[in-house]
This record gives sequence, structure tokens and C-alpha cells, in this order.
Amino acid sequence: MNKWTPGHSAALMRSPIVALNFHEIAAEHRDSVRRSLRHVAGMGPRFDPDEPAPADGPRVFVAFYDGMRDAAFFGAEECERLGIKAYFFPLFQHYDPHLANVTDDEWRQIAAVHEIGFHTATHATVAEVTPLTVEREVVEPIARIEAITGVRPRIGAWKGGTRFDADQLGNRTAREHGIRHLVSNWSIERIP
Amino acid sequence: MPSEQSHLKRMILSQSVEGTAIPMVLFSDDTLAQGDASADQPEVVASAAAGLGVDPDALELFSYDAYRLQSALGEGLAP
Repeated sequence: MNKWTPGHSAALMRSPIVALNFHEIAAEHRDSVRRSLRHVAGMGPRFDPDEPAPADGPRVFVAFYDGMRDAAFFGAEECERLGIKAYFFPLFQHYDPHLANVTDDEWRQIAAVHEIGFHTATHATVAEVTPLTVEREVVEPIARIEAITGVRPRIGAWKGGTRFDADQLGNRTAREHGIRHLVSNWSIERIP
Repeated sequence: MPSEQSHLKRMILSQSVEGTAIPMVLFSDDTLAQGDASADQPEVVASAAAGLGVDPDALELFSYDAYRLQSALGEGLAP
């Protein structure tokens, strides 16, 4: 097995992406979230996957996953107030519709300030995308985001934070439909 | 003064339980090539944890929570 190498440390020391990833945000944790956002807001510029890394120093990536209604609105407003353009990764057939009833019109408002990425319809892992589910989990959510925002999403993330693997149907299909960058628990990388 | 391990443990568990977030440190496409891109993630986490004397199994973390350990370790890199 491969070990952590000095190269890893050097890369992270030179120009890391400092990422804050949120899902549900309970009301009692909002102050903590505000503190975290303020903390990272001053660390460096927003991470844009199409921009080259600076010579040194971190870039900031703030993301809200699963389209939880309270978290989405709270996050969108707080980030805008702090000058952070955040990433939102909604689900469109959420496992808990009481938590995630954001309308397309509301997503459109959020997308006017922030960026919307692909995260499947029902919170599928890439391994759960099959020929039977690929339309629902990959093709339709990407098309829906494009219909909402007017642009095809360029960035996506799988449940579980897995990296790109071209052997997986979900990855190949996402790539074919315009996803060019993948967020994982390890990196945000350009899809080869 | 809590030990580094207990501090780390609290950070990890607080994120898992309370639903808040700590900064994660990720590779970008630019920096990925400088490390070993094929490194196995859990092994990376395990080896990094071992360096601090932390046993992820003892924390009863799910595998993806273990990634947060690496992130917590990386938090110290931020200015």
C-alpha cells in the first residue's frame, strides 16, 4: 500500500484547498457555522477549478450538500454576506422531503450568487449508478441544473466523496454530460 | 490543556455528531501531481493517524469519517 509521502505534505503546504463541507445545519449550530465561515473567508481566494493554483497560499471552497432547505438558505445568505461564492450540491428526489423542499425557482435565486453542482437525484453513490438508474441519477439532475441556472454544471460530487474512476458508469456519464471537475474527500480534480 | 489526540478526537466527533464542519484540506488538480495520486486514502489516513498516536478504529469512525482525520491534521497547515 502507498504511504503518505513528503510530496503530499509539500503539495498541501504550498497551495491547499481549505474546504468547508456542510449538510444539515441545526439551528443551535448556526453560530458555530458562522464562525467557521468567517474563519475561512479571510484565508484566501475562492477556489475556482478552472483557475490555476496561486504560487502559494490556500484557496477556499465552501459547499452545502444534499439541498437541505434550512442549510441552503442559511448558507447562501451567510456566504453572500461574507463575500463567499459557495457551491451547492442539491438532490432532487431527497430521502427526506421535509428537509429538502427547495423549489427550482429558489435554486435559481441561489444560483444567481453561488454555483450549483451535480450530486445525483436520490443521493446515490457512484457504485449505485447502473444502466437502469443512470438517467434518473446522472442525466436528469445535470439537465435540471442546466435548466435552472442556464449553464451546464461543471463540478460534481458523489455521496461518500469518492474520486473519479472511469470504470464506473456514473463517472463516464457525468463526464459525457459536461461534468469536468469532481470533489472528493481527497481532492478536487479535473476529470481526465 | 488537552492533548493533541484528545483535541483531534473532539474535533472529529463534534463534526460527526453535531453536523457542523471543520476545515478540510484537499488537493487541487495542480498540487495532486506533487504527491502520489494513487495513494490509498484509508492507508494515508491510517499512517497519518499513527504518527499522532491516534487509532481511528478506537474512535469507531466510519471510513469516510476517517478522511476527516486527515483533514483535521491538515487544519494546522492553514494560516
